[in-house]
Amino acid sequence: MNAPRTGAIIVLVIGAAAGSGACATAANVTIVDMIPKAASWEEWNDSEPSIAVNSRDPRKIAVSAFTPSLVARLPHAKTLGDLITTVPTAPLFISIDNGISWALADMLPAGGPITRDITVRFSPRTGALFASMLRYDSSLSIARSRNPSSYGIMETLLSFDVHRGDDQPYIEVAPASATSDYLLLSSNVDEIYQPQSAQFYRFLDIGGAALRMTEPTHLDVREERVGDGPSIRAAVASDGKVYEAFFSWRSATKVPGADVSNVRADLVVLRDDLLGGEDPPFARLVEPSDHRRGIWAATNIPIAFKDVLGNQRIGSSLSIAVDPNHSDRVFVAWSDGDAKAYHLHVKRSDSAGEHWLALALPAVVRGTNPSIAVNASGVVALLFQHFTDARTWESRVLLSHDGTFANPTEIVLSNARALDSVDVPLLGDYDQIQAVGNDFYGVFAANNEPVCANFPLGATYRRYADFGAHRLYDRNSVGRQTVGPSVDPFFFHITNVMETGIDTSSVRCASPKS
Amino acid sequence: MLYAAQVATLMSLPSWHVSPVAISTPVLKSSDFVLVGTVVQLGTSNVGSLTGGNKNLDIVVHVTRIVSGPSASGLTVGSDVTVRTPNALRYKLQKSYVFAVRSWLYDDNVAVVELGHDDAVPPKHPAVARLTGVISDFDAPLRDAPRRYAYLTVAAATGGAAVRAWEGRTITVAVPADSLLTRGQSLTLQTNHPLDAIVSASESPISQILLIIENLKKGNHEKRVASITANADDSVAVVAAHLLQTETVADDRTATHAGHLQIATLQVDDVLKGDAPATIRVLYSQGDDIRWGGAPNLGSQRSGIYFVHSVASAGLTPQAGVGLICFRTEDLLPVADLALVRQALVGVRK
Repeated sequence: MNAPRTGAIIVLVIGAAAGSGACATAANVTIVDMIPKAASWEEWNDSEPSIAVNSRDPRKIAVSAFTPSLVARLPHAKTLGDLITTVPTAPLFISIDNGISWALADMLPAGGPITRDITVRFSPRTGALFASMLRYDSSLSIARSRNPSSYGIMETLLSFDVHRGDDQPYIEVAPASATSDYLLLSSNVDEIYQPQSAQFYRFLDIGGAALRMTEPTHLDVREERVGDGPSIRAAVASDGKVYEAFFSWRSATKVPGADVSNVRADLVVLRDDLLGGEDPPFARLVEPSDHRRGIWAATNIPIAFKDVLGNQRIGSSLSIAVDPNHSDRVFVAWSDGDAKAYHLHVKRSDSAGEHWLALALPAVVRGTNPSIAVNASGVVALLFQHFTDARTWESRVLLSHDGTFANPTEIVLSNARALDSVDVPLLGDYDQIQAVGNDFYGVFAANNEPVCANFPLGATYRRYADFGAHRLYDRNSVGRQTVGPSVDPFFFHITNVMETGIDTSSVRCASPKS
Repeated sequence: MLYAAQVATLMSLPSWHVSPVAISTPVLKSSDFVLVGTVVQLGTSNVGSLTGGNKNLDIVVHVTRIVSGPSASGLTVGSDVTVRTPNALRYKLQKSYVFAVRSWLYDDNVAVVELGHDDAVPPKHPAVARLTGVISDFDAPLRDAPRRYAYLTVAAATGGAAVRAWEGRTITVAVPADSLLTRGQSLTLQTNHPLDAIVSASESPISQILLIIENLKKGNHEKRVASITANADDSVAVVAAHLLQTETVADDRTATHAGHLQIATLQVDDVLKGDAPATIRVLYSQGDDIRWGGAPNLGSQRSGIYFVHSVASAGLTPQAGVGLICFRTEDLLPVADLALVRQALVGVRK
């Protein structure tokens, strides 16, 4: 175990907010509660966020979450039963100013007012935005917006049948030619392909109204396995390498009518060097112990599937990232164990996935939702959420400049009490961090109570909040009403990461004044 | 244009005369809001994300009245909203209009997309309107819609000349979804406020006049009835029943979105829609995934009104020989709602 850099977690709060919040974010970490001012009245748990940053113009960012259309909500809506289900579109959060301000726009053709699992990505070639989502009826769909900052309803390019039972669709976009993109989709299709439910799809988008699809690839070739965990994650390198990671369950206790338990899994990594187009696909990494496709980056790991950690479901926490300048250097991050001891792990390969080295992290006993990214200078960032002894959820980033995590810079983004959830997940099954150039951009779900102490590096609220009174309001005028706390999506942006330590000299919390 | 129609709007609050119409029945049905407001800026926007707006399309409107729309929308009287119109040059500064719009964008302010609009000016000769007729039919209800649409053949009309001209014609009456109306029922519409609007409609295939009866509005209750109606339409059967027993489906649960399906055996006390034997077996979910969020727990309630669907409508196949399921929030209602359900079932196909 290694201690964080001295000084990196020193919290210096200057002039803790009195009245309506005067407390700006530290110089190189920006944290923003993304709920717009005009939606200050909402009380929904906006969980399980994903983020996409347009690498052609990083001022343009899209974030998805379990956020229903604002026009579909009955007063004080908190559960799915509080929604008007005829509203056909669900919203995306869009920023055009580097995440400083956010619009919530009904852009997703969801067949209802909210999506289920969703991830988003920009085309690095054109700046078009793509979303892979489980629609309101849980069927998997892919949609595109050629110009997301026009806030128009996205085009549906493809919809699968609801009976497939897809889970956690995860999309990446890579240029296929000067005029086309590949959409690389990982999905767990566990109702028709069990036990080999980890699937990979490659679609060609030539800009038309439909996609060309190649035959899906079973990522798990081991037919004797119990099943695959829900999270299938991909990392795409600029030279065409694609890494896929998933949990292949080698054993489990299965009792009919009860959740599978006592899962033992292998963390399988596969690689294809032609953006998933090799023949056969994803055959580059062969596990020495059984001579089959997909190498085991970690083996026989314990997973308490659907155990509950502080009101948060766990049991499939996984991320993978590749160094943008060294496609042989790849990182995987995951959590394993049960709710009492859900340990974070990171491994690194410098051999394009052939060999894996365990990295020693600061001990986190109950850490989930790991997400990992590597910037243009090789700095590695690990985002995760930690359920503390004080029953708070702490959202944290570890920065490793040398890729070892031996002496990481530690950033506490938020640390706030755990709220209750009803039928919408409290934090969701994932959060996300992404690197563009040397910057890191990310999103996480957290308690939105306006308490500056919850944000050691400060925070800016787009919604009406009073950091002095610790209250949220529906508006900022006579007759305003108090709004109850809920989970909001929080955007963060880390700049100047080549500097050591975190600047805490101007920590402030802020909210709209009018 | 096959049907030159007229649209009239009876409003209970400040009166506005609405002329040449662009707001037709289809436009109203697809709109999220109908609002009245005064144009305060042309060719610009007050929403930051629109970066100054589109000079050809955007206008800023000061909202003076919200005729219809969800109560929790954040759109309020007194606020300024950006309206994305087909052509900003059609509007005049400081002039009032009625807008039918759909929700679009929330940022520092709200932006909406215009689906239709009419001029709105104070009437020169306010009149009290009274219309009597018989309901000939209803439009198909929309799930969760706040209104339903009845077709009224007008037998008598009193008011101004324009009102009297409606005698003998069929008009559309948009009423709260929970209004106790049936086919063949006589209906008298009267407003104690001045008649607000007489406008020509161009797209309504059935009626010549659309009346929006706002003063009958009963809040969220109306949405509930419309939603029950739509759910009943989608159901194989609707029964009042009580629970005999539950059992767990011995299914394979290796997915986060597994339904955790249970079987409820119900003793049917009354069949409200469809056919049902004395006892039926129905699947329900105790799944904890968002896919099953809001699903009713049939095991927790001893009796109720059950809206029973085929498992295919939930994306499932029969389990343990059971092909019926209750999976939506509204699939289990308390017995106390029986009158409400009966009301909602009027007009629902058997």
